[in-house]
Amino acid sequence: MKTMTPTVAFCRHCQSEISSPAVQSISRTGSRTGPGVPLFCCAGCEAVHGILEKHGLTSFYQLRDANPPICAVPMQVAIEDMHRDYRAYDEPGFLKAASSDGNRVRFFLEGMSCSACVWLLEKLPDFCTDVISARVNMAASTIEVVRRPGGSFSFIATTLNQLGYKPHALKTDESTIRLQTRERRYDLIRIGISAALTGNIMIMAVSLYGGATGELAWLFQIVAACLSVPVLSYGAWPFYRSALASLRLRRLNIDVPIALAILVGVLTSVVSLARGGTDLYFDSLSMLVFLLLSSRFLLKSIQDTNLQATHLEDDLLVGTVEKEVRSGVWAETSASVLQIGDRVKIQVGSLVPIDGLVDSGFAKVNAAVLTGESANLNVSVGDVVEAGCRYVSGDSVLRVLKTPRQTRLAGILKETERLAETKSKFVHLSDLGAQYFIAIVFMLATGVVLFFFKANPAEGISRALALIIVTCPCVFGIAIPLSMAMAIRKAARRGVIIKSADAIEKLWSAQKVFFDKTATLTTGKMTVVRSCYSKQSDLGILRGLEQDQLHPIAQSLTRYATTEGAAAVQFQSIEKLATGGVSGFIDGFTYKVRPLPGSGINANFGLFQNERIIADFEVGDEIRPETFRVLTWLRKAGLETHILSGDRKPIVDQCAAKLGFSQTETRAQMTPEEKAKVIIASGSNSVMIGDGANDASAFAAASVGIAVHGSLDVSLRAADMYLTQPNLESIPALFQIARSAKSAIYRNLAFSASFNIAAGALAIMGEMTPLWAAVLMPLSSLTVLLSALFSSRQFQTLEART
Amino acid sequence: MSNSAPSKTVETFMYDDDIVKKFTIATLVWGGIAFLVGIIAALQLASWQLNFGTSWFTFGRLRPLHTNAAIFAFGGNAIFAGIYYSTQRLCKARLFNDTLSKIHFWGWQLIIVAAAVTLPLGLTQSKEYAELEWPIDIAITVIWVVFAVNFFGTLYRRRERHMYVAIWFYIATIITVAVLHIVNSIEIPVAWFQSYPVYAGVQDALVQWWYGHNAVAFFLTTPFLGLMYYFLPKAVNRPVYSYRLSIVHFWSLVFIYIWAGPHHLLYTALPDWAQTLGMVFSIMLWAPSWGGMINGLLTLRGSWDKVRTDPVLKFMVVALTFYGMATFEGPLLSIKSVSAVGHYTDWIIAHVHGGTLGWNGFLTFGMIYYLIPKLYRTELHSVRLANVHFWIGTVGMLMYLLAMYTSGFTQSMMLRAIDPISGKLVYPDFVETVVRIIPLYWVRAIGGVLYLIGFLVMCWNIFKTCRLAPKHLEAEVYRASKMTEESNEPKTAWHRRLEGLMPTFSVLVLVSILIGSVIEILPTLVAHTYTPANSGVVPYTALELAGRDLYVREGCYNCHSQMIRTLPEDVLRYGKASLPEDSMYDRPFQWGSKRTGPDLARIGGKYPDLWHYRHMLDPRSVVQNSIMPAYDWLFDKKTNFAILERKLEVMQSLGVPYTDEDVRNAAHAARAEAEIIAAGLTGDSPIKGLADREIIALIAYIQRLGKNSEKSEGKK
Amino acid sequence: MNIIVLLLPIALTLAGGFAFAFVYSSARGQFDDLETPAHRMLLDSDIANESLKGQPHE
Repeated sequence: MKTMTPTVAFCRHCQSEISSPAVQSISRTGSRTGPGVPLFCCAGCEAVHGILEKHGLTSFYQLRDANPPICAVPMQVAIEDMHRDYRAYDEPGFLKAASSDGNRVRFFLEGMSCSACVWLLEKLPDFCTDVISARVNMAASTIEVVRRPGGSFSFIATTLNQLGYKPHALKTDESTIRLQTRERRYDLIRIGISAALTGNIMIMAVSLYGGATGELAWLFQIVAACLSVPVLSYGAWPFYRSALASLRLRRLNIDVPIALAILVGVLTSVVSLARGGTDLYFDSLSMLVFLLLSSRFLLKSIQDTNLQATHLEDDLLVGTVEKEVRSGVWAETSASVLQIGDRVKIQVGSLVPIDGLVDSGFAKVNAAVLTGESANLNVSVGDVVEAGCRYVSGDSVLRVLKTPRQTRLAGILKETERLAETKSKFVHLSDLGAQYFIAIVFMLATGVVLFFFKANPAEGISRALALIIVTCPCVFGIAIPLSMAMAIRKAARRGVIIKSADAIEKLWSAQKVFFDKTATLTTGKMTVVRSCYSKQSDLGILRGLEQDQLHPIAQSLTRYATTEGAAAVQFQSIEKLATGGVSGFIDGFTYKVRPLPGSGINANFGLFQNERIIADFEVGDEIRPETFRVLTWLRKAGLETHILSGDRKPIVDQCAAKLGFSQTETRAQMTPEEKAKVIIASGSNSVMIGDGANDASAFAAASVGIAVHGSLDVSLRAADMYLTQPNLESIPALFQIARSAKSAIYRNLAFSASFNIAAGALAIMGEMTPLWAAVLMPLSSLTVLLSALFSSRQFQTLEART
Repeated sequence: MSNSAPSKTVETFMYDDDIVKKFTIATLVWGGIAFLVGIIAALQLASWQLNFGTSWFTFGRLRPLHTNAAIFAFGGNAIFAGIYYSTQRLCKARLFNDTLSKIHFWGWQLIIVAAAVTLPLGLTQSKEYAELEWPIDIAITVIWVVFAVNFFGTLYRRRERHMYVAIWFYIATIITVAVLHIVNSIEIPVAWFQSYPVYAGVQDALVQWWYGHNAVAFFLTTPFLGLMYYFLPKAVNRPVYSYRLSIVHFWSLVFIYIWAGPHHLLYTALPDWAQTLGMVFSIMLWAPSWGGMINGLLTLRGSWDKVRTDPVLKFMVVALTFYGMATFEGPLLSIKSVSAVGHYTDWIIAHVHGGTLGWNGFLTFGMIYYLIPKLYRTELHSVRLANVHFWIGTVGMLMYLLAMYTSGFTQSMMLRAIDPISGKLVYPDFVETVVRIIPLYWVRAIGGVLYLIGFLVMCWNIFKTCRLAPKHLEAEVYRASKMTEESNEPKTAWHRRLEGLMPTFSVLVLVSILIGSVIEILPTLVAHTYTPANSGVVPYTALELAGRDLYVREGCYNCHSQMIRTLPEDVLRYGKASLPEDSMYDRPFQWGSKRTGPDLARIGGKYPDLWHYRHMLDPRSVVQNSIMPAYDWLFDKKTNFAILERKLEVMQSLGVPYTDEDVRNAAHAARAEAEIIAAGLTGDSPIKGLADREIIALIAYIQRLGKNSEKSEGKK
Repeated sequence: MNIIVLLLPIALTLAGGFAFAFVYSSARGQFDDLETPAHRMLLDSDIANESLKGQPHE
C-alpha cells in the first residue's frame, strides 16, 4: 500500500490543520497543482472561499490574518449545511412572527466571532441587492437585516448560510425583544441618574464629614437633600414596586427590607433636618440605591445576552412541500396548511412534515429523530411514513393521514416543553433563604422598638433602623444569582449555551451521566475506517460513482476519496442497483460498488471491475478522538457513566468496550421513551448528554440535559445546555464551572451569615449608628459581589491547567 | 447576486485631511518652541547668568510662556489634529464646514503668537495656565466656540449611529473646557492688556485651582484618552480590551473630576472641609484614571511582540504607563501628609512632567508617527530613526524626572529639618537648600535637551517622509450608507411614554438643582458678611498697588510663594501661618505654587529698604550664592502713576473699601509716598529722580507684605 | 468662602448636563450593544474611486 506522508497544510478558509492532502480548488484556469493554489480542508470551505472571491471580498482574509487570529472558533462549514432550504422564510406567516415592521428581521448566526466577520456581514448590502442595511450585534451574535421592499428573506438567509454563518430567524413578536431593550434602557437611565446624583451628594457629605460648619453646613445639607429626591424616588422605584407586589402576594421577597430601610431612613433624615439635627442619611441611602441597582443590572445583562439563542423559530414544523392542487398539477404550499387526504410529493433530502401513506415511489428513509436508529428503512407503496423522517434517497408521493399538529413528533415536542416548564418551578435557593432571613430580621427589629418604646423611643427607632439597614440579604439577592450569571458567562465563552441558572445548580450535585451513542460519543458521520486499494485511480472511480448519491454511506465514501486527493472520473451513465449500490460504464469496463456480505459491525463495500473485486472499504461510525479523555476525567471526578443508545446491540457493545463502559452500564436498541424511563428510574440527579434531535424526551427526564451540536432549535427546546462546538471538550469544563460556582456560593453564604449575625448584634446593642450601618451595608454587598466575581477568576486558572 | 449597484442610501464623501495636516505641522513647530523655552528656563535656574539681565528674557516671564506654549500650543494643536482626523473616520463624514476649520486653525495660531508676544512683555494675569490677558481670553472663547460648532456639526451629520467612546471624551473636553475658561476668566479690564479678576484672595485661589486642575483634567487627559481609544486600537488593529469598561470609566471620570481642585491648596488658608473634600475626591479619581490605563494596555494582549518592532506602539505603551504613574502619584500627592512634603517643591514639577512629557508628549509622538504615513499615503521615512527618537526621549525624560524627584526630596527634607533638642530649624538660611540642588538642575536641563533632540530627530524623519511622499495623488472618495433610523424606532405606545418621561424627568432634575441654587442664593445675602468686612484690614495704598502689579508683571510668583502653611517648618521659618484675611484684597491672589526662592508672605519689614534696593540691583551682593536674576531695568523705567486712579476705581468697584478721595488723588498720594522712600535711599543711590523709578513702588509693596493685621491695629 | 456659591451651581449644572446627555443617549440606544463598536471602529469605509481600489488605504 502507498503510505501518504501527512503534509501539514492549513485550510485557506478556516485555518484548521489539514493532515491528509487537501481538496485543491480547481481554479478557473484548470491548473490544480502549484504553490499559489489555495488548499481547503473540505468542500464547504472551498465553496465559501469561492463566493468571497466572486464578490471581491477576499480582503476578508487579510483583515482576519492581520494579527494573531482573533477568530478562536474555526469556521468549519459542514457540507450538508451548505444546501439548507430557507424557502419557508418567504411565507407570510413567518414574516408576521419574525419581523416587527415586515421589512426588518433579526437572525441568530452560528460561527460569528471576530472583526473580519463584522466587516463581511455588514458589507451584505454591497453584494446582496435584496438587503438595504445589515447591522451586527456581536455580544448576542445576531444580525439585523432590513430588506429592500420586495426583497426575499429566503434569498438573504441562503446568502448568509453560504458565507458560513448558519442563520436562525429570531422570534421577534412585538413584545419580547422590544420589551427587553426598553427595560434595559430604563434600568441604565436609572443607574445613570443615581450615579450622577449620588456622586454629587457625596460632595456635600464629604464636606460635612470634613468639618464644614455654620451656614455652609446647613446649605450642604439642603442641597444633599434636594439632590437625593430623584434618587430615592425615581431611582428606588423598582424596589418599591417589587416590594409592594410581594406584599400583595403576602410573600416576603428581598426588596421588602430594602424598601422599608429607604423609607424609614428618609423619614428620620427629613425629621432631623427639620429639627436642625445632624444625622442625615441622604448620602448613604442614595449610595445604597445606586449599588443595588448596578449589581442587579450586571446580573440581568449577563443572563440576557447568553439566552438570546433560546427564542428560535422552530424549523421543524414550518417547512414547505409540493401539494397536488389538481390532478397532475403540483404547487408549493406551507406544510401547516395541509389537510387530511391531500396528496403530497416529498423530494429526496427533505423532512416529512406530516404522517402519510405512500401512494407511489420507492425511497429510503432515516427515522433517527423518532427511533434514534441510525440505519435507513426502505419505504414503498402502502407503507406509512411518520412526520420527522428524512428522505435519504428516492422520492414518493404521500397521502396525508395526519396534519403536522397531530403527528407524534409534535406531541413529543409539546410534551418535552411541558416537562421543561415544570422543572423551572424548582424553588430558587436564594428566594427560600431570603424568606426566613427577612422574617427573623423583622421580628428582631420590632422587638427592639418595643423594648425601647417606653424608655427612649428615638434610640429604639435608630437601633431598629441600623439593624434593618446593616443586615442585608445581599448574599441571596446578589451573590447567588451573580455566581450563576458568571458561570453562564464562563460557559458561553467555552461555547456552551446555558438556558437557565437552575441547570448549573443541579449540575454540581449530579452523580450519574447518561450518554447517547450516535453523534454524541461518535461523530455520527459515517467515515471510512479501513480501506485497501491498489491504485489511486480506483479512488477516482469510487468518487465518480458515489459523488452524486445522497446516501450517507455514499457521501462518506466520496469524502474519503476527495480527502485522499483523487479526482472524480466522469462516467457516461450511472444507474442505481435495486439491491443497493450503484454501477457505471466507462471505456469498456462496468464498475460497480456493492455492499459485501459481512458479519462485522461496520458495513463493508466492494469496488468491482467487470464483477472482479479490485478494492474494498469498511465504513463505520468513528468514535470522537477526545471521548476517552473526557470519560476518564468524569470517572476520576466520581461520576457514574452510562450509554443509552437506539442503535443495534453489536455496534453499541463494541463501542462501549472500546470506551471502558461495563456491561451493566450499556443498554442498546432503546426508543427515546424507554431512555426517559431508565433515567427517571435512576434517581434525581442525572445528566443526559445526547444528540439534540431524538433525545428530546430523555433530556426532559434527566435533571440536566446537555445537547451536543445537533439542530439548535429543537435541542434547546428540551435540553438545558447546548454545545456549539461539535466535540465533548467543554463537558469537563462545564462541571468545573458548576463546582467553582458552588464553592463561591457557600463561601458567600458563610461570610454573609457571620457578617449579619455580628452586625445585627452590634446594631441591637446600639453600638452601631445608622450611619455606620449605611456604610457597612454597601461594603458587605461589595465584598460579596467581588468574591462572586473572584470565584470565576480562580476558575480561569483551573481552566488553564486542564 | 449581481455586483453591488450602489443603492440610493449609499453616499460618497471625502475626508478633509488638509486641516489635519496643518494642525500636525503646527504641533511640530510649536512643540519645538515650547521645549526650547522650557530648556532655556531650566538653564536659567541652573545658572542665573543666562537671564542676561534683559527684562523679556528673564525666568519670571519665560516660565509662563513655556507652560502656555506646551499646553495650548503643542497639546492644543495635537488634540485638534487627532480629534479632526478621528471624528471624521468615526462618523464616516466630512467635517461640518471647511471655512470654520480654517478659522479655527488660523485663529488658534494667532492666539499662540499673541501669547508669545504678550507674555515676555510681562502682560500677564499671573493665574497659572491662564496667564493670558483679557483680549486673548476673549479670542480663545471665540475660537473654542468655532471649534465646538464645527465638531457638533460633524456629529449631527454622522453616518454611523453609534458614537464611539472617543467621541464622548471629545464632547466632555469641549463642554467642560468652555465652562472652566469662562468661569476663570471673569475679570474687569483696567487697560488694553491689564485686568483684575472679580474674585480675591482665597476665593480666587479656589477658582484658579478648580480651573487649574480641571484644565489639566479636561485639556490634557480626556482628549488624550479619546485619542488613545482611537489610535491605539487602529495602530495594533485589535479591538479595545473592554468597551464596556471604557464607557463606565468615562462616565465616572466626568461626574467626579470636576471636584478635585482643592488638592492644590492643602494646608493653606483654604477652610479645612474644602481641603478634605479635595483630598477624598482626588483619591476617588484614581479608579477611573487607572481604568483607562488598564483598558489601553490590555488592548495589546496577544500582540505584544509588535511593540518590539513598531515605534508607534512603543510610544503609546510608554505613554499609557506614564499616564498610570502620574494618575497614581496625583491622588497620593493629594493626601494631606504627603502634600505637606511635596507641596512647593520640585516633586510637583516631576509629577507634572511625568504626565506631560510621558503621557501627552509620547502619545502625541505615537499619534504623529501613525498619522503622517496615513495622511501622505506613504511609508515612514525611517523606522530606525523613530526608535532612536524613542530611546533618546525616554532617557531624557527619566533623567528629568529622577533629577526633579531627588531635588524635590532633598530640598523638602532640608527645609523641614528641625533640631529636636533646640526646636530650631537645622537649615535656617533658605539659600543653603538652593545651593545643594543646583547640580540637579543641570541634570534636569540635560534631560530636557535630550528630549528636544529626540523631538528634532522626529521632525527630520517627518520632514523626509513628507518630501518623499508621492505628490498629487487622486483624492480618496469613500462610500458609506446613510444612518438608518434606530431599529425599533416606530412610534409605538411605549416610545411615546419614554418621550413623555424625558421632559418630566429633566424638569425633575432642573427643579432639584433650582431648589438647590435658590436656597444657596438666599444665604449669600446673609453670608456676604461672612468674611468680617470690618476686619480692619487696610487695602493697599496706590503706590503699593503699583508695586504689586510689577510683582505680577515680573512673574515673581513663579519662584516665590506668599502662603505660610499651618506646618511647624513654615511657621518657624516665615512666621505666623497666613490667614484668609491676609490676602483678602489680593486681585489676583499671589499664593504661588513653587518655592524656588523663600516664601514672602511676611517679608514686610524684615529687611530695610536699602537691602531690597541692593538685592534687586544685584542679588549676589546681598545673598552670597543666590540664583535670582538681576532686575536692573526696574531702576531705569518710571512707575506709571497716571493709571493708578483707574486701577483704584476698578478695585473700588470690586468691593475694596477705597474712599472716592483715595481714588481721586491716587497718583498724588503715590508720588508723595515714593518721595519718602526715595529720601531714605538717596545717600546710597546715584540715580537722580529715584522717587518715580519702579523699584521704589516694588519696595513699597514688598515692605507691606504680611503687614495687613499690624497695619489694621495701628489704624484702629 | 462664599465662592462656593458660584462653584456649586456651576458644577451641579455641569453634572446635570452630563446626566441629561447620558439619559438622552441611553434612551436612543447608544449603550444597547457594547461589544460591536469596538470592532466596527477598526473597519474603514471602503473606497469608491476605482483607480485606488487595489491600493492599501487606511
